[in-house]
Amino acid sequence: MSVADAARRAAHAGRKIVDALGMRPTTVCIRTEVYAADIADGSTASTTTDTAIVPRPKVVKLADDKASMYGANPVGLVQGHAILSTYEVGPITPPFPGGGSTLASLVSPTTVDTKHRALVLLTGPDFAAAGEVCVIVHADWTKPLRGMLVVQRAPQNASGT
Amino acid sequence: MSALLGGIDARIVQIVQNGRGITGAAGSTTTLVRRLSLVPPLVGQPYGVTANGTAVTYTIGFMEGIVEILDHLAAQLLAITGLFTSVTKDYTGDGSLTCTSLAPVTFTSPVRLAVADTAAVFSTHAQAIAIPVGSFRRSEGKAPLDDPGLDGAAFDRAYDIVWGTTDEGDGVNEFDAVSLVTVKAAVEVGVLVGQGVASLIKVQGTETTADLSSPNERALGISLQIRRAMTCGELYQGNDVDPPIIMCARDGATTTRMVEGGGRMIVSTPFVMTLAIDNTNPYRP
Repeated sequence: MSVADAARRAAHAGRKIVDALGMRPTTVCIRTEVYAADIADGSTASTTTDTAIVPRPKVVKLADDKASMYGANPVGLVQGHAILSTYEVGPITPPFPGGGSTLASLVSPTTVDTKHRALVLLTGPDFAAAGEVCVIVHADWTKPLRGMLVVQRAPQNASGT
Repeated sequence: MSALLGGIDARIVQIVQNGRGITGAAGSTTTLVRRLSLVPPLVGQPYGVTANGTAVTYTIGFMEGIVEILDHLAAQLLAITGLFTSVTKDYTGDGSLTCTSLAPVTFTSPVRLAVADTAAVFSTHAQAIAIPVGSFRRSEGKAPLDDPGLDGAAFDRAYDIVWGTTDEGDGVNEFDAVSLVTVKAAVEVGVLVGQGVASLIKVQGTETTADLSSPNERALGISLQIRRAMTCGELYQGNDVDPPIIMCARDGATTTRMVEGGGRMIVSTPFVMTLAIDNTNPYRP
């Protein structure tokens, strides 16, 4: 095992401890949606699979931006104002023998086509009961010990919002 | 969707998405009934010519209909200008059209020439240029295609109807039962660009993901396909939507533009449509 792999293993163990101590209240899942036909107006996913990232990474809210024309979160959350929340998710341990994740292994880009969609579901005490569905807008796996995601509230019509 | 444009929106969906014109496809078993208003803009004065005081419905071919319209207009002009005090035509019920005599006519009801084509099967030409079912998909949530929030998986060959202006012209006759409204709308289609998004292309027919390397070619081919179907009289006409479209034509050049979101091009084709609105219908939502 290389020094880098050993460091990742150690970092991963440390993150497990932080999670076990309850310091990571937000569960982050990669939500994969499969549609029977091409995603279009009014279509609903035939299969939805949520895969949790373990251990739970830190989730930090970065900003609330103005919503795009396409919309953002349900207006009930913010009393009529559609805002576009952005969160930083990480660190996520890069792969090492026996654990860790690559970005590709998380979102499975090879299976993404016009009938598949990858989203990020945030659930926990800081979110509504159904959680908050986001899309990945930035990913950084260039650091040796941590992968980071920036996710943004999914448009209103994305499933689960 | 507003009551005024809801039916028109539905018609465009039938043409672009649901295969209207192709036998067996949804929207192609509708009885074709064309309603044409030929009212000149004469403000505040009821006038017109009808056969036996009512709108006329009979079976006729499309080109015959065009000839009949011109003939009908000429008859009106003759009557209105006083060359004849009376003009009457005899519409037989067997599909043929005969002009038997010139006889008194009553200027009491507005002109409404209804041309009914009750055939459920479209002409060979219309079927040839009709767009196969599933070639395009309505943008998810009817979202504008230039919104980067639109999912990449939902972009390629997604279309959006961008409504523009309406105009009633300068001489709308409110006493007429039917008046004309001009509506402009663009049909926009998303086209993915670049091999990096190859898995998200919605291929049709003989297309392959390699076609991503020539997006302009692909986009302009798509625009031609939509333009031909959208401006085919058989496909857009019919009284099953209210107001009926009595004319749809291209309204300028097709354009392409790149938008945010990564490898996204939009091809936009503008159309102008003339609608025959029923003045007794409030067209409330």
